[in-house]
Amino acid sequence: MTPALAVEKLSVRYPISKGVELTAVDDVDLSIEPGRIIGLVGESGCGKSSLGRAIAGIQQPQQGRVVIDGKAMADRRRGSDARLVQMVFQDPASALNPALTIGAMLRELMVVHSLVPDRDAANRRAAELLASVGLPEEMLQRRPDALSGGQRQRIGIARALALEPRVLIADEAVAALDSVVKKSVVALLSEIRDRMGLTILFISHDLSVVRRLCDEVAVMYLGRIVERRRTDELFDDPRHPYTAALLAAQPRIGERLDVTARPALMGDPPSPTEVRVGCAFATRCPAAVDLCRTVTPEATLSPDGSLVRCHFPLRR
Amino acid sequence: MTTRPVLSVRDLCVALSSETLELVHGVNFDVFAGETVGLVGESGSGKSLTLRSICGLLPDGVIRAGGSATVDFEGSGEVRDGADVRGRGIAMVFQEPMTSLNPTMRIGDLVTIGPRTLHGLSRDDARSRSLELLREVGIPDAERRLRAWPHELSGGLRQRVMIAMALATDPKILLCDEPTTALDVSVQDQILRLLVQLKESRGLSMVLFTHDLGVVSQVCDRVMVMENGCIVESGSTSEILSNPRHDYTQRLIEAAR
Repeated sequence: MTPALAVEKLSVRYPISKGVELTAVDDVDLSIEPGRIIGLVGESGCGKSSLGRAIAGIQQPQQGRVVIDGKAMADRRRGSDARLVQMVFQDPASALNPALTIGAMLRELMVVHSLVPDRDAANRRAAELLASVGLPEEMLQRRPDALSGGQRQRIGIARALALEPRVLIADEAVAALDSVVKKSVVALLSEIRDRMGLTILFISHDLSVVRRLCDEVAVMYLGRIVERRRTDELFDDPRHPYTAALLAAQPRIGERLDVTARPALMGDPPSPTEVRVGCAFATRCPAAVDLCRTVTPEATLSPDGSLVRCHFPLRR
Repeated sequence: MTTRPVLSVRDLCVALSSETLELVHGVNFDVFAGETVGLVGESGSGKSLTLRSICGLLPDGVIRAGGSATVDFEGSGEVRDGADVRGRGIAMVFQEPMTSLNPTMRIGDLVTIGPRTLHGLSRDDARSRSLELLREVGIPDAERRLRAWPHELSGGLRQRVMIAMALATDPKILLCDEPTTALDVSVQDQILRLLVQLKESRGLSMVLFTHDLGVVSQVCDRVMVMENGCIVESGSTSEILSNPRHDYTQRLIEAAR
């Protein structure tokens, strides 16, 4: 099957000062089958947002390409290519134009992209979009400031769906929401996938949400994907020591913090501006040996498609 | 062992000043020495207003309509309202270390702004005190960090700076407003450890205002659940989490799993 999304050898670098570059995304390969939801997790600064933005075409990669449904995207996406990947952002309050009513905002989008023949059709479609994210038609007359956080995020999703994308990138889309509202927006994303067959890259640092929503999970550390597995396998039996540490650091209901025990993850990741030798996680890894500090581990692919980038993957 | 509470909140009501709309309806609770208490609720439940009313930091247009929140003033046994003793006996740690630190001040000046304003601490004394505090909250390379600006620090270090600021006036009780919500799990783990260690080394009491039941489960002795401006359920952490009675508590736990 042709993947809905394929990222090939993608790198994103930002110039910091003369001669110094920050490598946010480092030679990443990632492909997603149609209709799947993949979680992308990692600490802040690991490059997950940069990767998402490069896939959406709003961040220019320095190397590599993005392929949607078998078609390579140009640096500047024009015409219908510009609609193929849409993003849902973390903070819908700042992602929506405060001056426009929801109806005007949706109409403008559809008109600019020539998706509707006339204003009536645009209004009908806008009402349909609201229904599809579980909001009443009256919301079309409202402005974003009259909506709650959960309603705004539903509008953020409707905005993305208005352009009939193939791939949705949700960048911390539920991070700003309370637990009960969060749960309902997560359920909405899952329902949209089932109904429309949309492919979703769900970027999040919230492991419990990822576990509930995603079919597969990719774990990113310092610009690279270090593990990618089916969700249940990753949570039950992590292979990469970084994944194991992230899971162990997660506070769970019914467990008390033991301050005398060694923390699961100590210190910070190395600076992304430095040239690295060996495994990027070696500085924090409890199992690191000399080999880890000198030789960069290659990604090992299993027949089932799972990936781990470690010299000494954990075994249960 | 004293039985007098460090913080005592009685019939606390918070309302909009323009209309007769009450937002927090008669909240009662005590916090005793060395205790860690969680106040759990979603946005709109009134937990932030409760916190802000205790320390007199309510936003414009919102007032304390009734009740009291008294703290032990500078540990002297004299009881005063939390809103009047701000910084002496009671201190706060805010959620967003990015926006809660003055970006135009160096870390060294920021940390001791409390004692310099309240006790007229001299520049030199303030510097050595800042250094001490930065070391206490586990900031590596503290000497150099005195001259750093807030934007030069990572989220975790900024949150440590905020905790150092809160400790600068030697409070007996820390009110923490979503202290780890903006942080990664790894940094969250480090900050929670720091709070627990400080609580033990300094004999602090803490109140955590949060919606994260995982965090509450990890560090709190007792929990109070707030909905629509009322405390709807309270009890020991293990009791509430294993046997919630109120359906709002059940929904919160369900959503957090």
